[in-house]
Amino acid sequence: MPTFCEVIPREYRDSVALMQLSAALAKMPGVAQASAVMGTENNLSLLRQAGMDIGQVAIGPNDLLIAIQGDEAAAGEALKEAKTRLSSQGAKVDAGGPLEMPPHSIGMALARHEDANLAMISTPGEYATAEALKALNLGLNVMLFSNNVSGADEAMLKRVARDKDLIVMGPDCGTAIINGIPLAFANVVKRGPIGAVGASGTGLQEITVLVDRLGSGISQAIGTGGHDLSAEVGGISMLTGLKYLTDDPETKIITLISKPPAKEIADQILGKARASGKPVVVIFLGADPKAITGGNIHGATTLEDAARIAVALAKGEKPPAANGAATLPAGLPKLAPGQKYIRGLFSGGTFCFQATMLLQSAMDIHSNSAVGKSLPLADMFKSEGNTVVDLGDDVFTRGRPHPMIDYRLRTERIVQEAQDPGMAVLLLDVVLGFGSNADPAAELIPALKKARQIAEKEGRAFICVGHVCGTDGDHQGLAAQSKALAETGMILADSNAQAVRLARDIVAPAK
Amino acid sequence: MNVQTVITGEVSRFGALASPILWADTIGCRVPERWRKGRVQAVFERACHIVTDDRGFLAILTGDCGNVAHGIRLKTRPRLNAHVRVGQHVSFADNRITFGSQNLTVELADAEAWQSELRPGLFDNGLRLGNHATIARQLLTQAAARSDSEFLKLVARLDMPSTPLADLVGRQLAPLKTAQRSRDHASALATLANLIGLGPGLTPAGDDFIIGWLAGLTLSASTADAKLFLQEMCEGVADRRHATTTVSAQHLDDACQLQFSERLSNLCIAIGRDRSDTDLRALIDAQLAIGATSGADAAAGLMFALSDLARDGDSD
Repeated sequence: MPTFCEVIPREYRDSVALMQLSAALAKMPGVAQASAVMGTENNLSLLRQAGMDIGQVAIGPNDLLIAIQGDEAAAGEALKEAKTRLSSQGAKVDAGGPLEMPPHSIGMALARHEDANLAMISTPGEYATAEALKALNLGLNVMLFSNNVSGADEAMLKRVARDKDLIVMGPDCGTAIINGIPLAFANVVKRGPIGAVGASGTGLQEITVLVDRLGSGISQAIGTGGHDLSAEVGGISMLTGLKYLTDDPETKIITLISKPPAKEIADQILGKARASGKPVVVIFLGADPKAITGGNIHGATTLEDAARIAVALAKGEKPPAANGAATLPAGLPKLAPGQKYIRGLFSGGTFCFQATMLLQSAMDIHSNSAVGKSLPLADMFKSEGNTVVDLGDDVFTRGRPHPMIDYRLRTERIVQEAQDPGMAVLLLDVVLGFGSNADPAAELIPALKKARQIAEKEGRAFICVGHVCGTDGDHQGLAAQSKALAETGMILADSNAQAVRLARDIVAPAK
Repeated sequence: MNVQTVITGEVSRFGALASPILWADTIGCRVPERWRKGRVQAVFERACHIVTDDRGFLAILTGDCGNVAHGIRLKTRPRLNAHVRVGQHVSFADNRITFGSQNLTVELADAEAWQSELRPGLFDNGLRLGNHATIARQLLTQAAARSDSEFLKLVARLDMPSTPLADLVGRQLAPLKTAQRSRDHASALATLANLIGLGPGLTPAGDDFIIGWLAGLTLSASTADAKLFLQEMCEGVADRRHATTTVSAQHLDDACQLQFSERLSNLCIAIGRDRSDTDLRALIDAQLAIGATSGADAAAGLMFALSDLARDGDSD
């Protein structure tokens, strides 16, 4: 098969950018091999050894070579795509020409967009407080994507915001939908009567997605950051968000999502919720919902239950009972005698937390999510017994993107788990939406196939249970992703809670 | 809250200055001292490379980067790619580097000189070096499992998919090990020639590996024979450095002058001194955080060079 080359003189990219470009081009139809490398002699030699006939291309070590092996039409398309991607990664300008300076401060940006009333801030944590304070002093609400902001700074920022009748969403706030505009990691959902305030990014994503799937819609989804309901911060942003939704005529039902807060904070929030005059669905993950249910407050056990209750209330129906059952699909392969354990590999922190919470009553569970009776992992890179891992933990994301974006860590771990004869069920989440990987199924499928081959070659069953958090409005497409994953044999549940219970019930007979 | 527009502007430490001034923290010992004009050759978020009109080379690094011998490190951490463009003219006068028509100025007046502290013969206690080399090797082996560096995985002997690059590198390591042990400089240089410029990015992984390997040889060079071998390797690599990109050639040239990056130098010195396991782990993490895989590739070279000193080293 012929190889077509393009030399881009004096073009500099780092190795990750070039590897990603090579990988993307290699996946294009009709392309057998693709490579983007600096034009050093050893790289040219490497391409020749890989079977790419690049001929005597005129190139120097400081030039970028894009080589495509494939039919002519496909190579032409791939080279065109390469140029498009390279130009979109950063355009060159004429040497010495005048530059239009980007805005260097929130003040400068506000001068260009006078009607803006929210600043999204994503800087290293040590700068984030100062920038958030500047934004607040300019009268802007703040979504603070940055993490590594101290509790004292968070409390100070939120008190300043409260005094100015503003809100600080965050720090470490990854999800919000404001006036129908998804911010950061969020999904395309219908607008509707249900408002949510959440101290959990993937918790907010799961509830907004399930509300959409159940036929209702979201008025606002306000993130608070996971530390908001600590005693130090006092739930200031959740209280502000609750007030916004109470006053918002578009919001008929309010949903509050958090891990269990300190008692005095919970009392304060529930007090305001009772006084809101609107039905309020509350999920304090891991806490007993009966303890808070009463009057207009409806406690929920899982994110799915919270969504179901909210939608039922929005439709004027009676809140449904908790959905605790799992229906095992027919034709499950028989587990080998040694196959006993669940291995959950999660990209969503709240999904891992909820999985740990739901499993720990039925089995010993190791996790890096510290929940109740869960046991710590001696080595987070190695599973022991039943294990569920939040791959978004800082330990895993150092030097690489979050696992919702970059699936390599998870795909490697899937293959690693398949080599363990003790694994009975692989449990996964797949998160769609803005910010997430463009095609999660394409990332997962090769690893799932390899894992299945490993297990079956050794006479073991390979069972993978998962759920896709997303909608058909998301650019990845819920239906397309689900279909592709189901075709590999993945058993797809409608929610994280259902997937976890399914995995639990598959493993339970083997215990 | 009535969100109308989301501000997505660059947030920096510049405040509202129209022509920001950045203050340099340190100046590397190999930064050209006499030059007047140059051009920006490459720009990344945390680094910017300048080629001077007389073919000198220097890098501007943000404050969170480690020092390098040809680098000027800033006191702050602006996103350089938001302010500097490839091809932009740069001038140097009165201790100031000015980009374009004063779009950005780097003030050098307060900066301190910096050079790498690692040098041959710094440690002559072979037993202690062996202990810490073993710990470092174990930590790097653990890190290899979560690294994207094919060099590090190969040196750590982890299972990895067969790729043309991995296969080629794999074929070089055994002869390099033999040459290192026998101090056969001709064979070693012949093998290194196959690695220079090998790898996709601006600083190809093969070059980073060689730099780490030279650092390891420097750390362990306590005898006259070892120092002579190191000298021969440095001279041979320096002669071959033009087979790679300009930026990487500069890094190789620094290493051949025994001027290693701050993080690599600190890691080597920690291996040589009696530093705790925890310190080594932090220094290894810092080294691995350099670039996409550059830090890990250099760590692979270091690990490879030290394998004979580590108590669990290769026996082949």
